[in-house]
Amino acid sequence: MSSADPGFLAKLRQAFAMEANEQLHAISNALLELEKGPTTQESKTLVEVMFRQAHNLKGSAHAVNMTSIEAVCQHLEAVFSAMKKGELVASQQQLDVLHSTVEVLHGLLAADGKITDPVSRSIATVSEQLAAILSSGQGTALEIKPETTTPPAAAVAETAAAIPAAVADRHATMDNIRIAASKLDDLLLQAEEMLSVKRAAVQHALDLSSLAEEAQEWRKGWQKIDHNVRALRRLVERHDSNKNGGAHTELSHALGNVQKVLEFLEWNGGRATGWLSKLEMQNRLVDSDMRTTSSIVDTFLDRTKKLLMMPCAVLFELFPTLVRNTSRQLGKDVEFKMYGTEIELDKRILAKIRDPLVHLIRNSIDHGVEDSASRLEAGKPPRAQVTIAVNQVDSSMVEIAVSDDGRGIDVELVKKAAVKAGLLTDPEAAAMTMQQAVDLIFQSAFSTSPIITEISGHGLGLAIVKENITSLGGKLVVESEKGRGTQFKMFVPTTMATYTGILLNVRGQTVAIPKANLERVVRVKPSEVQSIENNSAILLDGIMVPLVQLADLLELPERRTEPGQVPFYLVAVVRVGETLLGVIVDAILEEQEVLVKSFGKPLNRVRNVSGVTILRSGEAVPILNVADLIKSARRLGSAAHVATKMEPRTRKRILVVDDTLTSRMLMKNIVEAAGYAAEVATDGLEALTVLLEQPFDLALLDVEMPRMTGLELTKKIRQNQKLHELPVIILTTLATKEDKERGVEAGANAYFVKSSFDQNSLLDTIKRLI
Amino acid sequence: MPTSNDKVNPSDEHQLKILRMRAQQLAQKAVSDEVTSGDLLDLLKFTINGELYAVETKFVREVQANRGVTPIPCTPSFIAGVHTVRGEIISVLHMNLLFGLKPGSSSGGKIIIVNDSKQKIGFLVDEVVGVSSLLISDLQPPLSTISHEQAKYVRGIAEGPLVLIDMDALLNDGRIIVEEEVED
Repeated sequence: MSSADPGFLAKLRQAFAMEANEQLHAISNALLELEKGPTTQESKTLVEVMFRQAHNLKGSAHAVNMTSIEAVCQHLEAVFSAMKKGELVASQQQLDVLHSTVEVLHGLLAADGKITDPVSRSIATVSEQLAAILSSGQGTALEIKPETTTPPAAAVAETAAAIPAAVADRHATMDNIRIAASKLDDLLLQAEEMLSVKRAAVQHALDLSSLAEEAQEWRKGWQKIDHNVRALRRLVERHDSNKNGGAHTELSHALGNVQKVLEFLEWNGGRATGWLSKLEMQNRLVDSDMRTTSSIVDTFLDRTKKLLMMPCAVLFELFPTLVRNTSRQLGKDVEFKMYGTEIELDKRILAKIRDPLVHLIRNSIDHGVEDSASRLEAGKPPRAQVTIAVNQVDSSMVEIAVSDDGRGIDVELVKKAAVKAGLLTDPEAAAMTMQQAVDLIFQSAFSTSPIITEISGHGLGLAIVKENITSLGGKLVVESEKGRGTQFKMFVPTTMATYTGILLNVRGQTVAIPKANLERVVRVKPSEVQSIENNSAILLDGIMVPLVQLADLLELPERRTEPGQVPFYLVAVVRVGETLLGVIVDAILEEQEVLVKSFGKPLNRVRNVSGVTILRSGEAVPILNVADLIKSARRLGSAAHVATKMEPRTRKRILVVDDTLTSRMLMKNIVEAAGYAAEVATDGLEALTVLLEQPFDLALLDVEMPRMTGLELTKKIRQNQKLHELPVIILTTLATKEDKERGVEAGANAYFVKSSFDQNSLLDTIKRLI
Repeated sequence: MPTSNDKVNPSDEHQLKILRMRAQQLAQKAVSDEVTSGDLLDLLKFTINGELYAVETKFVREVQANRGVTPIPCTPSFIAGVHTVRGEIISVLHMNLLFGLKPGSSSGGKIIIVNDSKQKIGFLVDEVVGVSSLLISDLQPPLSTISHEQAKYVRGIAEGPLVLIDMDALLNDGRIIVEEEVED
């Protein structure tokens, strides 16, 4: 295989990236250790480690032809070499530069060595800074040298001692092999596929066993009648032999037939009894096979899942650098400790808690802990503590706690702000427990409010963090004591679990919702639907629950013909936290164990749908994201009005005309999300044809389009007898006053500039026009 | 081997092309030094709405019969839905909608699954016509009359007429990525 083989090079680079990541982490960790003021001997070893890692990285970068990484490493190595020779003792600022160099290398690695403009600038910056360190090192070498009291010979001896230790380490890991994570993912996929084999085996065994039971019924029947048949046959035989040669030929002929029938019946009975025994035998065998298969599949899946378990340390090794950089940036003195990092979690869970943990740690440093001066004033040690601790709660759940000893959450202020924001009334606030008040910070309307950011001690996006953890089947709680500190506890499952889903049918499509989110199912007469400020709701146990058509939330195409009067709506009441929502569905099908699979690219994040599950039948079914549904219902608002009397409800139709796909999609989504039905056309001419063929309530037009521009189309619409009253809104990139005037002149009802338009004012205008 | 300087009439040229392709197929790797792989593109040809298209086989992972694509709510119209292949969920796209063409009456009987290092995507097509090779020199630039939007994904056109899709451009186009949150 030649090195020009692109496949080989790709594999090589993959291996390189893995190795390089480890080398960079080793350098990062050594730099962090170096800052803690180690003894001279320790720092020698650390520098030696860094030097070797930088040197090796440079070599491998060269091998895979990543010249940018190689160049940066060259500088890095030179600095470490100077430190090694004792010509340089890095100052805090210089360590900062080394840290940022490692960051730059990480960036290059992530970009696969591709150099973008900002990257090349940062390469230039760190290279200059490293060169500056080197020249300073040579200048100050004499001043610093006295600090290194170890005689050179001893230093060499120590270094030499350190190397065999490293080699021994490598020996110890001979039992471990490196496997690309993607291969394990493939394996897991196959293992999960076995789950449907197991489900099928269970189903087949059940079918066979009910067949055997039915056959048992037959056996009972046969046993009851068996002796009658035999008695009858004997009787006929006797009669036949007595009357042999007699005159009653007709009767004896008939008796002969009866005898044949009886013989066959008896033979059948014997055969069927035999088959029945075989069936029962097969049933037992299949049942035992099913049990074996089930247990093997379960064990197989379980072990495969364990392969994907990785110690938290894999993720947490990022955090010391994160804490260090954040606290230096904010001018705070923070000591960071990690506990329980050896506890293992599914790597998919680890990947999903990464952002939430980074968020919580940043929050603790930014808003949780005070600066040294304030701490001294409050009678605390000047150095703040931030801790992350992992605890195994049980075999399926771990707790990850992010704690700080900062100022804590002032619940009284939080309550006041909540009242001010209209989330609570005064008496409600007074009645709140401490915990309820603290939990207010998770409310999305709340945690994003700037006033709260300052006083709660915790910043934006806690609602998002909580949502992410909840979507993993975990939970997030917060405990805080004013003046003493705050602790966020995250409970997450150790592996990606299966859970029970409820299958629903809406407009012919099957969808699943997590059973945990389904509060109850009710039937509601149209006359029981109440209308509050144009929003629909139903009264359930004294609580008004908003009601929407699930099909509207999911933007499903309208039925060709809406059914007439229905006697009742089937309503699934879903819940997230304290929020309830009623969604109208066509049918509730069944419960099934579902395994959530995320969409691959290009579906990174889909509104209202969290993933897909595969049913026993092999059919893929979307799993709804209930938290999203509740938000969508809020957005839809009155547009999702549910008919209280079954008047045939027709959505207003809007034609979106734009020659670029993106704008078209965007506009279509905006108007559809507001409850209108949208059609699209790609230019003026096509739009005109469509408008003449189908009824529309409004047209949204782009100006610059091939074949016929928006202005020309507007004029045509105004001149057409059938269309001249159609409201027209022009959307354009042209922003001058003349352009606007030309639009109005052509007969447009409204004019929006694409770059600066506000979605709500567009929707308001549409509402006003139709 | 004829050189390109030889005067040939169109049908000769066509025959030569066929012969060269046959030679290539028969000789396989033995002659791969003579005809550098850069000269020939291996194509998978298929139809959408009666029109002939092709992608380079190096992108094609497999072709599946469309056993039913599950539509996913709240996705743009060019997303046909998802399809499961041996336990793996694959997004399936309407190629014609992506091109800004009209929906038409595509049967979507087959799914062509393509991949690069980053993703695996399925495309709904009507029929798979077959595999063939094409000399790069026979590829012409797309018609100047097609829109800019379509031209982005077209690598060229060839006799047939056949539109060769630029799968690299398509897979790396950010516009096919769906990343939408429900705003508060």
